[in-house]
Amino acid sequence: MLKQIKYSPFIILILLISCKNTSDKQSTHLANVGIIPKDESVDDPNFQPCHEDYSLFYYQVDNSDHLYKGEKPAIVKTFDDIKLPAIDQNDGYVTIRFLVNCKAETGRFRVEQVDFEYKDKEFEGELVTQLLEKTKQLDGWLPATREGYKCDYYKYLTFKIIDNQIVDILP
Amino acid sequence: MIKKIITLLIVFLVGTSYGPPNCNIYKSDENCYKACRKAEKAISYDQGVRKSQEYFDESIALCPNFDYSYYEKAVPYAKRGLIKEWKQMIDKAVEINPREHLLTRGWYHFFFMNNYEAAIKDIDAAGLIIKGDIGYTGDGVYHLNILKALCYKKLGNNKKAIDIIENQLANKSHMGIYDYLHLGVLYLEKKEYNSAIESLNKQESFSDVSEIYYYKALAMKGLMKLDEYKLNLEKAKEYYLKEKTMSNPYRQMIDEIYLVDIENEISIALM
Repeated sequence: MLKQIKYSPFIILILLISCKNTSDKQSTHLANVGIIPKDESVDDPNFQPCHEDYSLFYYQVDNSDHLYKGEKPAIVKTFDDIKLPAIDQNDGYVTIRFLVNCKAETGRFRVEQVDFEYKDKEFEGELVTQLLEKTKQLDGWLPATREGYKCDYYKYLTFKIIDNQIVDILP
Repeated sequence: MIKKIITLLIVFLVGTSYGPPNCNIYKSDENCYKACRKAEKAISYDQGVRKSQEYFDESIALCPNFDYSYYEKAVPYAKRGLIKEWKQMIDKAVEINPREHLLTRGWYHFFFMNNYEAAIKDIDAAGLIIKGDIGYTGDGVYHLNILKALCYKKLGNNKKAIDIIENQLANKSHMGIYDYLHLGVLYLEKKEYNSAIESLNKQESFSDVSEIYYYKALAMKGLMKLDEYKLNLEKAKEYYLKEKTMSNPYRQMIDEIYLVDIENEISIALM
C-alpha cells in the first residue's frame, strides 16, 4: 500500500506524530481536525483509503487547483440538474465532507447543515438528499499528489441555500 | 514556480493571520503567561493535529481570557468545512478581544462562506473600534475596504463597490494584488467599456494574469473591436495554460475564470 508514497522525511515525521497521538485514548480530539474515521454503519464497505493513517486536506496537495476534470465549472454543472420547489426561509448552508483516495474514488461522506449564523438546523424537503446523491455521483475527481506521489485527501463542498435553491457552491 | 511559491505563502498566511503572541507581556499574570507558553507549544505542531489542539485546550483552561488560543484553535475547522465549530471558538475570541479578531472573523465569513452580510457587519464593527487604517486580510491579498466592496458587489450593489474601490485606490500608499481587475470587471458589468479597459491595463503591472485578457476581450467585444476581442481571448488562453491565473488553494476567487470560460467565449468569437 505504501508503495505509492516514498519515505520522504516529511511523511515519516507525520506518520510518527500520528502513531504517537492515536495511542492517547483520553483525548476528545481526533488525530487531526476534519479527518473522517470509518463508520461501518454508514460507509460503503467497498471504499478503502490507500493510506488509513495518512491523508492530506485538499489545499495542502501540490495540484490543489486541479482536483476535478473540467475544474469547478464541471462540478457546478452537475448540480444544475437539481430542480426543487421554492420553500420560504429554507436557508443556510449544507456542507458535505468526504475522502478522495489515491485512485480518485470517494467515500466517507458526512453532512452538516447550518443556518446563516452557523447553528445546527435541519433543511426541509429533498434538498439534502439530492445534494448528497449528486455529490456521491461526481466522478471526475483526480488523484492528488504531494512531492510527486499520489495521496488520499479530504475535500468538502458547501452549498449556500436561499429559499431551498442553491445560490452558491464553495469553496 | 512563482505560482507555487504564492500558493504556499497563501496556505501559510490564511492559517496564521498573525504570529504567536509575545509571552513576556503576560509575565504579571502567572497563569496567562503559562497559557501563552502552551499556545507557543500548540503552534509548534502541524495545524489541527491532536497535540496542537490539546495544548490550546490547556492554554484556555489556564487563562480563559487568552483569546489567541481560541482564535488559533478555530482556524483548522474553518479550513476543513466545519464552520459551526469555528464559529463557536472565534465568537469567544471576538468577545474577549474584538479589536484583534473582528476583522479576521469578517474575512473568514467572506472567504470560507460567501456570507457577505456577516462580513460587512464585522468589518464595519471593527471600523468603529480601530482608529485609522483597518488594514489587510490575513493573507495580504485584499485591503479590508476592498473586501467590503467585493461583498457589496456580490450583494448586487455595484455602484457602492465601485465607489469604495475608487476611494481606496486614491490612497497613494494603497497596494492590492487584484484591485484594478475587480474594478475593471465592475465597469465591464456597467457596460463602461473604456473605463474597464483602462482599469484592466493598470492591473497588468500588479499581477499579470489570464483574467485581465479575458475581461478585456469582453470589453473589446462590447466596443465591437472584434480583432482585439479575439487577440485578447487567445492571450487569456495562453496565460491560462501557463498557469498565469488568479488562484487560491482554498477557494474560487471573485472574478476568477476557468479554461472552459475562455474556450466557450472563443467558440462564440469564431461564429
